Amino acid sequence: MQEAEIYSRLAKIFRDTFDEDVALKPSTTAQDVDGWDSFAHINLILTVEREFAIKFTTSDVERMRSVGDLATFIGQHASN
Amino acid sequence: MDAFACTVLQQTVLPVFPDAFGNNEHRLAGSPQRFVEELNRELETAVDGRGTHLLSVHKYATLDGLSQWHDPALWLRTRQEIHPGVAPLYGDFLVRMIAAQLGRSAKCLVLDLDNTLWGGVIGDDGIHGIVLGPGSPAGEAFCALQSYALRLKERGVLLAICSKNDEQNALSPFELHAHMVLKRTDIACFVANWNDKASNLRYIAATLNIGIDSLVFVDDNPFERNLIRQELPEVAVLELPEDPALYTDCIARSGYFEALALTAEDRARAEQYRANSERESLRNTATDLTGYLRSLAMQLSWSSFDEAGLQRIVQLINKTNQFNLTTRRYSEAEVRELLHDADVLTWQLRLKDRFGDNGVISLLIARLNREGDLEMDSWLMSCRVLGREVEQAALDLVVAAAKNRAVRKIIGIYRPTPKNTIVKDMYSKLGFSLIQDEDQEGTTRWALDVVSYVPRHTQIQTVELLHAGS
Repeated sequence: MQEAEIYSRLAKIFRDTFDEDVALKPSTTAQDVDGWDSFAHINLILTVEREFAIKFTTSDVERMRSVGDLATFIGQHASN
Repeated sequence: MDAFACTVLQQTVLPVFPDAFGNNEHRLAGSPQRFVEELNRELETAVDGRGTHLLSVHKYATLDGLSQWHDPALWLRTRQEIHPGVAPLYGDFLVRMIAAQLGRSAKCLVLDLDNTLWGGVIGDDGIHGIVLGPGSPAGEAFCALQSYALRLKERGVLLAICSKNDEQNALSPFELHAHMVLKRTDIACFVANWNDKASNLRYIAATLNIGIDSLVFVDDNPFERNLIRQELPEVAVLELPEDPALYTDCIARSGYFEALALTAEDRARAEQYRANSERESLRNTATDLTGYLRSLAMQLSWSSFDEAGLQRIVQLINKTNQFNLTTRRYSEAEVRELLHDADVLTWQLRLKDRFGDNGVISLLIARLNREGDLEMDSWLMSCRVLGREVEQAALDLVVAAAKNRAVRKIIGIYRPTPKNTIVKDMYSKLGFSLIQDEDQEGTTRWALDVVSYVPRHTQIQTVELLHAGS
């Protein structure tokens, strides 16, 4: 899957989760987004799993530090 | 809990621990899974009588599959025990209990006949052609639905029939079919005609003296369901699945009949409604109202609120909407506080007559206010006993208590709600005079002079009991 497609689908998920457009860059982290707290994080991860039909392991989630990490993981694991 | 006078909802424990023994885990002493099972069982008895109710997540997790409710990875990562995917369900279960506490649970299950209570059309297929009973899976499904309706009836839900049929055809299976589980006498209101169903539902609610929003409508026909949704949006309309085998589940899981405590009145309700229809036919033959009331041989027994009657008292306070002067709602803990308040007088009234026992049907709460007057905090009555002079007899009791305490004035309050216009003029009719006209909320205040009060003659014999509620 192309990186551009991953980012555009992620942008939609972020918009739905935070009720506003979020400018996503690989370096974006939870600190950069208003309302990205632990609860929003759970919903975000679950929505990403559903959207890309993938399943994160507990250590995957721990390793991911930024939107870039998330997009890379999706690129490696998602088939559609 | 007593300090806050609140109701507690206690969540049960999800059985999240894996088995170490397998099928017969119960044989393994010290197994966490077995401990959770025992804990949940213990909770059931521990909460009784303490104003606490269970939110049984373990039961619903079993229905849906535990993996829908709990993801061990989410628990480890975020301590999120209940999966966010079932959060809407969880919210629904929670709100059902709050609704039940506030008296918003439905009271009546309205059932269609053809293709709902049995398969086929009685008018076309005849008594031997309809599908009902053992021998076919569909026939058993319809029996299962009827058995479930009967169980609801036995715990206090009213059953009504609303069918487009000739009445004689509609009644015939109830009288003649060997596999009908429901009998005509189980039905509190039977309507079979060719009127539109919205009118018929209005008629059913009026006949049973309940709000239209206490009806749950079960009909296999999407046209009728949509008509009711459009005409009577306050009626709960179940989206029945196509397969009759799933009807019962659909009703059970809808949660409209959520209940928190079973009272003796619940168990006897259907019988009381049957007695009511007999009273109605007597009224039609009696030539004058006084003669009719006299012929009922009514006996009103009363006592103060007590522990034995508590469940019924809380239930009445929270679900009576129409004959309710102030519509103040109190939790179990708050009612319990009233029992020990020296400035509060309470009455629970039970009405019997020659057709049966109506149970506890009216409650009054009065408070001695700063001026030394007796102020009616709450006055409510079940609409089943409207027009029987119970409120007149109740006032006699309040006046007697006021005289005992050398109180000179009784203050009545009417607080309007969308549902209680029926009692707007009650204080005026009982001889109170208006002392404060409508404020912003439309509340009026009334006063009755105790000394000059002359008891009016009613056809009710009043008896004081130690425990009217038990």
